[in-house]
Order: sequence, then structure tokens, then C-alpha cells
Amino acid sequence: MGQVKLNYPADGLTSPTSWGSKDSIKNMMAKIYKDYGKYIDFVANESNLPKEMIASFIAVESGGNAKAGGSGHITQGLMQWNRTYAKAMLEKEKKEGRMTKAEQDKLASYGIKFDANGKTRAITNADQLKPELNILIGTMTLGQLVDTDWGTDDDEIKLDRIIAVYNAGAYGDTGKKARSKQYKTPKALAQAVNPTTRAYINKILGYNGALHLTRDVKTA
Amino acid sequence: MNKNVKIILGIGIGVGLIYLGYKYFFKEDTKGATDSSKEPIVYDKKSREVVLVENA
Repeated sequence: MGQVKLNYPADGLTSPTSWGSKDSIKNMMAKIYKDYGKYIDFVANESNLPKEMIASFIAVESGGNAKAGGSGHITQGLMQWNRTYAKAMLEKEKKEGRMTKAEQDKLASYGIKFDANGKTRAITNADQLKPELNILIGTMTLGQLVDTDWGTDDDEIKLDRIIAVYNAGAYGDTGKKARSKQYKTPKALAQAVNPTTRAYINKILGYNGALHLTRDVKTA
Repeated sequence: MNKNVKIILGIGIGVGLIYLGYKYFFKEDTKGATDSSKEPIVYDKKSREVVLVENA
């Protein structure tokens, strides 16, 4: 695959002022790095994804609150992934030879091990509330989306499409639009999807959004 | 059946059908319902090198 670009901020998109001022977003990103930087560094290194991108998803999904999400809700924690799909995602990562030894060892330290057939145990609500594990599984999910034919196109990561699918799912109206490759710019896709997902795309990819402002934040 | 009751029932059924149609044609998955395990993977994460490029 080699080198791919992740362009930011996207033309014509701006982070909604309702999400916070520039300073408040910078402060949030700084706190995320302070609280979870060592976990983010680990998964960024193993997944070959930028730590800025991972931290941006944490910011939008939970604001850095490891306990975010309603009690018992199917999505929980820092990156708000769905625990019912996490098991299949992990087994796919393992089956396709994508899982690094360090990732596998890290999962094992949380009791998530694979049998001879590549199967693992169900992922629980308690698992979702563990910051390091939540970031690891969330980043693996993002990695699988990045490595689809629509997630990376023309040697460029299409983060707008990835955000849309991560937020709204792959197979609803928004997901279908994101995966169609018909929307050539983040602005075009943002205009075509539901308001919640549109705001999400703006928060990460827009001017004064998480990815734009994280350049000014100490990340190590 | 009283005429007004029929009208109210008709409106109710009509609204219900419109709602069901909307749900069918414009449905979204539930939040966080991304099942990445069903999406074919075509790139190797181990050889991926991402370069952040800040637009001017």
C-alpha cells in the first residue's frame, strides 16, 4: 500500500461553534493526550494510523470521558464502538493476519484470547469501559474501515467516508452514500448525509475541528 | 362509524404509512452499529504509512 495522505482541514467545512471554542477543543485534545497518550501512542504505532486521527475520534465520541454512554447501552466508553460487533471485528483482524503480536498480547492481558479456530470470547460492557482496551478495539475498527476500497482511494484516506460509516453504520442511507464513492469531497458527502453525521464530519475534518487544532497540542 | 372517526382513523393510518415508508427508505443503522467485519479489506495495514497533509 505504501504512503497515503490524510488531508485536513477539508475545504468548505468548519467545526460547529456549538461544539466549543478553539481553546476549549484544544484543551480537550490536550487532556485526552495527557490522560490516554500512552495508549494512543501504542495503538497508533501498531495500527499505522496517526495518533491525531485516533485522538480526534475519542474527542468527538466521548470528549475523553472513559465512562461515556448510557448505562447498559450497546455503545460505551472512549470510542463508543458497538460491543456486539467487536468480537467479529477482532476475529477478522486475527484471521486476515492483520493483528500484530503486541496487539494480541495486549488483548490477552485483558482476557481476550483466541482459540485454535481463531475464535475469542464475547466483548462485554465492562471491556468497553477500560480505556486502553476501548482505544485498541476502536482503532482496529477504524483500521479495517481505512483499508477498504472506499476508505482509501487514490492514495488518500477518505476520512469523511470513514467518519460517516463509523458514526451511522455501513448499511443505512448514510453508510451507503459514504461507501458509494460518488461523493468526491468531504463537503459533498457532509451535505448529503444526516445532520448528526454531518456535524461529526465537521468536528473532525472542519476548520477549527479536532484534527486541525490538534497540531497546536502537545501530543507526547 | 361516525364520519369524524373515519377521518381521524384515515389520517392516523396515513401518517403511520408515511412514517414506515420513511423508516424503510431512509433508515440509519443504530448509532455505533459499524460492523467492519463485513467490509472487504483490500489494503495491508502493516505497509500503510499515513502522512498528514495540512491544506493551506
